[in-house]
Amino acid sequence: MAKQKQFTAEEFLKEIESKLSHVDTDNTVSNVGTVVSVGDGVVRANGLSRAGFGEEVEFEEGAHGLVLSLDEDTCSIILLSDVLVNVGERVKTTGKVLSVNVSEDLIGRVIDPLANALDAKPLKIKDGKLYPLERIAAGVVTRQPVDTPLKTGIKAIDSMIPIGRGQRELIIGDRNTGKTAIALDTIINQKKKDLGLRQVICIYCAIGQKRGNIARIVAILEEKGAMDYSIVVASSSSDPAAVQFLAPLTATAIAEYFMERGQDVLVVYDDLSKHATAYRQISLILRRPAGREAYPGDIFYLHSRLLERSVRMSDKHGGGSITSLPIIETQANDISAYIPTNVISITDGQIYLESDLFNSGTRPAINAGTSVSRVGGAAQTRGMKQISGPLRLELAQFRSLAAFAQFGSDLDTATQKQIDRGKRVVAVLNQPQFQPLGEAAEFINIYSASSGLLDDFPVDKIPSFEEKASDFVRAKSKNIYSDLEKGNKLDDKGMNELKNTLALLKKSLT
Amino acid sequence: MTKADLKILALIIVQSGISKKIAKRLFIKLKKSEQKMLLEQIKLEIQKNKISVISAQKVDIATGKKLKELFKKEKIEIVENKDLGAGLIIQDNDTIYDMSFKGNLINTLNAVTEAL
Repeated sequence: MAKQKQFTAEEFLKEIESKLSHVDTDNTVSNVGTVVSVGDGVVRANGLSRAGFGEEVEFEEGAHGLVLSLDEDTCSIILLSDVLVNVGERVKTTGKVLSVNVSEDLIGRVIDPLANALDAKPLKIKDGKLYPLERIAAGVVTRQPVDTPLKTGIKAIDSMIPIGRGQRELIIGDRNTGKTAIALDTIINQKKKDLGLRQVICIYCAIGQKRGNIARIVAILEEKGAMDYSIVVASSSSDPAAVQFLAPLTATAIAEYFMERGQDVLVVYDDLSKHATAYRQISLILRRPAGREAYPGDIFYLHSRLLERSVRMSDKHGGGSITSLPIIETQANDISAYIPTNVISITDGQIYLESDLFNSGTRPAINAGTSVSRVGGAAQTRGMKQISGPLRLELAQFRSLAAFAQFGSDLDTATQKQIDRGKRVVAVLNQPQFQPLGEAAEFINIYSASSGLLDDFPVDKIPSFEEKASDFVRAKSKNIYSDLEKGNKLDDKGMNELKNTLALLKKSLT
Repeated sequence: MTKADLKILALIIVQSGISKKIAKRLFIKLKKSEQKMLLEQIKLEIQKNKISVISAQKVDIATGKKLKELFKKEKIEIVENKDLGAGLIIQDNDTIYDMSFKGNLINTLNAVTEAL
């Protein structure tokens, strides 16, 4: 706990005096109403003729709510706290939209969507600024194209589905396919400050998850030292639907604070399927007309206005960025369902995880064929672009020939070679969890497989090759390694040197 | 009867008054939910026609008349409450104007607490 400043009596009086001189003591005009009905987390109140949509209201007994529906004679208010509200109780407007008090003091903390601490430590926001939860996204003119990589440290993603700072990349797949694992690895990898780029502030937003899961994720982030630059905004499945609905809005408001200070921010929304479910629940209780799958008509707008706030600001406007990784859970690999198709059309690409691949041992279980990054090579380093070009094609060719692999002895040389190459590429793209790699290590490992160097190397020994490759190159070819760390393209001489160095390592391991 | 019809009926009852006989016949004709709605509308209409004043000191007749003219209301309800310290709290329908010393003090304390 920080040591509190010790005031002398004189200093204390001066402090009070300066605060008082800035206080507005004009007579207050408030708009009041009376609670007519309470049920399912929604309160109907009459009066409140001057209440605005999205305005925060305060009840007599201290509860807080948010106006979400304005009818002729009544307002519908969703409750934001557990304090009991009774019929006949007075409610008054506050004149404020729902906001969160943000400052650097939030870094390293676990908070709920109303910015209350959940990590059993007192939360004191010094020099905080109020950021509204709902806000219009930055205009077209204030933005600049995405051209700076956000390294995930995952070879399959950084080579074939590269993500840039300011991009929205969807992670989509069935339950237990490694969606959260990809997000966590990306957060953990930001500790490296790869390519000499500035630190990325990470915000993990848990929406409707089990508390045990949230605790496990926080423990992992703490263990890996990621909480030094991360914030966790958590709403569990036992929280009211209103609180779950607000969670991603709070995470985005916090991200905007750092973005406006010229920093790069990564926000993970885990997951938006539960967010859509919470919003559906609120809308049905508010008696809004139900559309497809009982979702309200503005379910698309809910996610589009949220994700549109992810932006790469122009240098004139600070140069900061918000990159978002929304997560969607599909049922039975159906990416043509309502919510998945909505979010796919909003985002700048998707990483599609398949349960078949996961179960067969390909982890991360990324389907390179259906995954795409619409930013693509613009967010890749020149070095990575140099070697990642043929990867997708090789994988696609391997998959189409994989059925024939069991007939190994009956295949022609070219086909067998393709299958051997494909197996090695798949083996190299496999990566254990919580072990994100730097730029140089990714380059070396992918190059080893895609160049054909490992075509005659046993597949089961590839993990041990990968373990040693990076350190070996760093020891034997320091200049090459340094160039790779910066993301530079290697010339023919450099490529030859690298090839020879890796051949030496291969020889020693064979 | 629709909600709009009940609103108009409530307005007529408040403005013109209604005899006991007619009121009894009316309530027999209406369903229970309509009766409830009509009573709510009558309450709202009565509320619209008056202002409530809570004052720390006694309010004289002239001041009361001035307030009625200012807010353009027919009726005024005055309650004395010395706890306010000084000043008035006026409620006009669903708007409250807090011009009391107590209200100002509470606001000042809240603002200073927030600022500190």
